[in-house]
Amino acid sequence: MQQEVQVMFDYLFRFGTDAYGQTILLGANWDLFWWFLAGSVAFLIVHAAAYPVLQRRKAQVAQRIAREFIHVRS
Amino acid sequence: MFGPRTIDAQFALAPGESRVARHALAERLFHWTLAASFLVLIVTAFGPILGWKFEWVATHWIAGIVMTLAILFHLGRALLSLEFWSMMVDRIDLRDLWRGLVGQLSRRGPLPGKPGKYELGQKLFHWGIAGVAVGLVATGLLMLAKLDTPFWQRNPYWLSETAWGIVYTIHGICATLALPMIIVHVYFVLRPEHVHLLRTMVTGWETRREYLEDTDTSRWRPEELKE
Repeated sequence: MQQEVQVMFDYLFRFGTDAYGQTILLGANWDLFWWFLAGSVAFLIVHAAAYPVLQRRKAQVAQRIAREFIHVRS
Repeated sequence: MFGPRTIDAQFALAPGESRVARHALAERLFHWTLAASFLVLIVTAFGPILGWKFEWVATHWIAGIVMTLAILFHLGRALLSLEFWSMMVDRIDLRDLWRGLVGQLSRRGPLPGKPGKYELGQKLFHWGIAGVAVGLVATGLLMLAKLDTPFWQRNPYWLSETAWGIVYTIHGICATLALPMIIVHVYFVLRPEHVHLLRTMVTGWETRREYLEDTDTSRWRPEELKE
């Protein structure tokens, strides 16, 4: 478990050594850039694909409400 | 629903169509200054990481100062003269989010209502990018201590190495978070159903029909523009 956490830390952050040979934090790992870029592109693709389906469902709900409204009034 | 229009048609008014004010000139100037500075900051931050070789440091910190001043200007206006509460997530937003989710999953009503001036997504984006910008500005200003500028000499020993590591980490994480947020923001504003919002950020107005189509008029009443 400790080793897995260490691997995760090594992936998320950059480390170096100071003048005394001690490990120091340098910053965020720039490989995260690619993950965030890929994540945002994936989101755009999923949203663009799902949007027509979501809109269709919304229209179906509106139609159902209208039908039920008409039914109750009649 | 108000149908998509071409870019040219976005700027044309139909005969008899009236307009309402959406964004004041100061807000639009702030938005585009922020957008330009963010673009310069992203190119000068990630360009060298991607292997592009150019003198990026001076451009980066100057763009950062421009962004900081723009944010301070916006903060002042938000507290003094903008419709501050129109950007707050309220009970109606959460109710409509719930109704939207239930409607999508069960295909039953009631439907979510219309938003006020801003939709929930816009509000969440605003606060998300505001948090990221605060992180970038706070750490970026600290990092200026490591640079020689016309105004001061560098002092890299101002903070300990551990503290600098934390500052750089926060700056890096905020920068990597800003990138997808901006990509998603640009994507949404270029979608056909939202592209008129791009025009409102250029011209400041939307048509009365767009206002009535998209807005709960009890939650936001804009100023009518005279022809």
